[in-house]
Amino acid sequence: MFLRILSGSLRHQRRRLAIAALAMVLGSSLVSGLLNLSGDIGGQVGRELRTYGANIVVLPRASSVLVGSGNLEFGEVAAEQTLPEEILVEAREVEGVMGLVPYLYSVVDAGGQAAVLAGVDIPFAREINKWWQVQGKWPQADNEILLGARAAEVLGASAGNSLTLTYGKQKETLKISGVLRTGGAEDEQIIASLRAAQNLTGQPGQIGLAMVSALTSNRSLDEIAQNLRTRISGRGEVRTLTQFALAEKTVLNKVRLLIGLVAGLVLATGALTVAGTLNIIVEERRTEIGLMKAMGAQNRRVAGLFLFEAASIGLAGGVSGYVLGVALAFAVSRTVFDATITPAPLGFPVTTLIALTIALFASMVPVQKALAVDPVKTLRGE
Amino acid sequence: MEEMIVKAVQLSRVYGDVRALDGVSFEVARGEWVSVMGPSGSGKTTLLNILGGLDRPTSGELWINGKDMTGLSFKGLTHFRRETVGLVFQQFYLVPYLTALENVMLAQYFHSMTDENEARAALEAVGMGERLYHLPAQLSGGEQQRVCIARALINQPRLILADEPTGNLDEANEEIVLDIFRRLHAQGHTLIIVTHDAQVGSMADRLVVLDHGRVSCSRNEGSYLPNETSPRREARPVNVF
Repeated sequence: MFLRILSGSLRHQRRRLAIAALAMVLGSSLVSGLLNLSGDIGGQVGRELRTYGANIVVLPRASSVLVGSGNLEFGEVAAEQTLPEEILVEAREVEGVMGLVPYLYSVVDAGGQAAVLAGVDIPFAREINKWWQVQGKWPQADNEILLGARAAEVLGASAGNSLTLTYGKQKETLKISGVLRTGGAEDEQIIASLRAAQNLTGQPGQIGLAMVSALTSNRSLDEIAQNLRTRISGRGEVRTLTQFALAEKTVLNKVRLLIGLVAGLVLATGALTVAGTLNIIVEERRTEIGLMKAMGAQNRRVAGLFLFEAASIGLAGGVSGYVLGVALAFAVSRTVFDATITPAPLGFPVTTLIALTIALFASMVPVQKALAVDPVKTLRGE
Repeated sequence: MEEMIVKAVQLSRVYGDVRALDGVSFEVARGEWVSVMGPSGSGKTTLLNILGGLDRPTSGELWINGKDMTGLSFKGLTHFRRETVGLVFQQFYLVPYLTALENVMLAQYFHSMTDENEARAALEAVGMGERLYHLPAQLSGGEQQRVCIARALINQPRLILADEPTGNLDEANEEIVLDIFRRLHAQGHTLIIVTHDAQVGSMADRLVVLDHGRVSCSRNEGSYLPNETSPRREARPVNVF
């Protein structure tokens, strides 16, 4: 019978209740959208920030040779060190590591000028350094290189030319597929494929360092760095670029704070709308409430009816809001972050629970009002 | 000796400076039909509200079905209304979004458990068997009042209280409703009906006339004709006792 009363009552007041439910839909959709984005926004923002560079670097273990004569010490001279390339495979398996670009730096002779040759994994470098501007094409083969913009000026070379590089007795002529402009050190370098650099410098299977791009939305940078250290177990040195990590954390925290504030305000508005609507409904149904009380309805039954009506508003608003919120999150994610989100697993229960709690909370005053109805007065038309 | 279902002793109800009831004493025997009449403001509805457990007397004693009403808590009064009385209103007060059947079942729901067959039978007993699934807005005034009576009867109350049950009905429907009351009375139900209508009053076993909150006449002496008689018919002498 309770369901008959409830469904009849909901049907009877569907227009008014629809307005309250709509307010809850709007509030819940924002909560759901923000929850989904918040769950994924850490990742989204992190990934966005990651495209601007690495936050961990893996270097060969620092080793130096003490140079001196007899008891006289001249100081330390760093010995040229490399890392085995296999480290990359192991490092990629560490959780939180998004991307990893190996570098092999060498100083070579380029057309009679000393220049830094950076051997990199070209596809990875392209993926992780989205802001690099290339005039011409990215190298497609090991015999193609990118020439930094300043180096190109000095060497008087441009895309399409060939450049002969000499390292010791090794000599290679490579094709300049494009001119690179980054605004950084790369502008003065020659970027070749890792394989080409390894072959030219006679260091097959070796890398000079690896720039690691780690996602810090779920775990701290230090934790990822520590996991990396454990993984490569002493074969290299892992250092974090802390300044960058801190900046990233600050941005994420501010985004989350903003999300929380907006969600709070929208939900408060939703709660006020529900409370207002239920208040009007109680006012309009005073006679009905008075009749129920006159027939001996206990307070809990009268309260139950209005609480379930409020819960229905909350539930309808929560469920519809969740769906709308996921769509919103998808749209925002696509337009702002140019990516697709995965709906947060807890998004549905959390959104529905929040909507339900708020609707029930908002119904407290109207329910009190309903319980205070005096059947004698209302049935007399007062 | 007759068993009294209602015993009121010096009942008073005061609202601010107004004495709505002023020392009312009377008794109602089980199975008796008592009409309460009197001019507007004489305290009829106040008396009915107190008898129905909707209001409390300011002073005096009231025993209904052997229970001391003045000592009942809020919960106790709610329980009393649920278990002991059936209320029939002038304005019907049906829940607009429930069908006739559901309106009757509503009283069952507040009382204990719903029984659709029982509710259907109650409506059939008042001639509403063909209108079970109609909403109040689809029923005439007389039909709504019959649903209201079925609802009042569904929990088999000891006492049926009706406030101007024919006040909003046309002559034909009034006749139907009064016929139902006659049958209820014949079946042994105790009825207390507040009315302005002399014909309704005349059908009672006994007439209690209130004036300014006091009982001015507690049985038919053949001389009482209320000041406010039904506009539709002449009052006729009441044959009681």
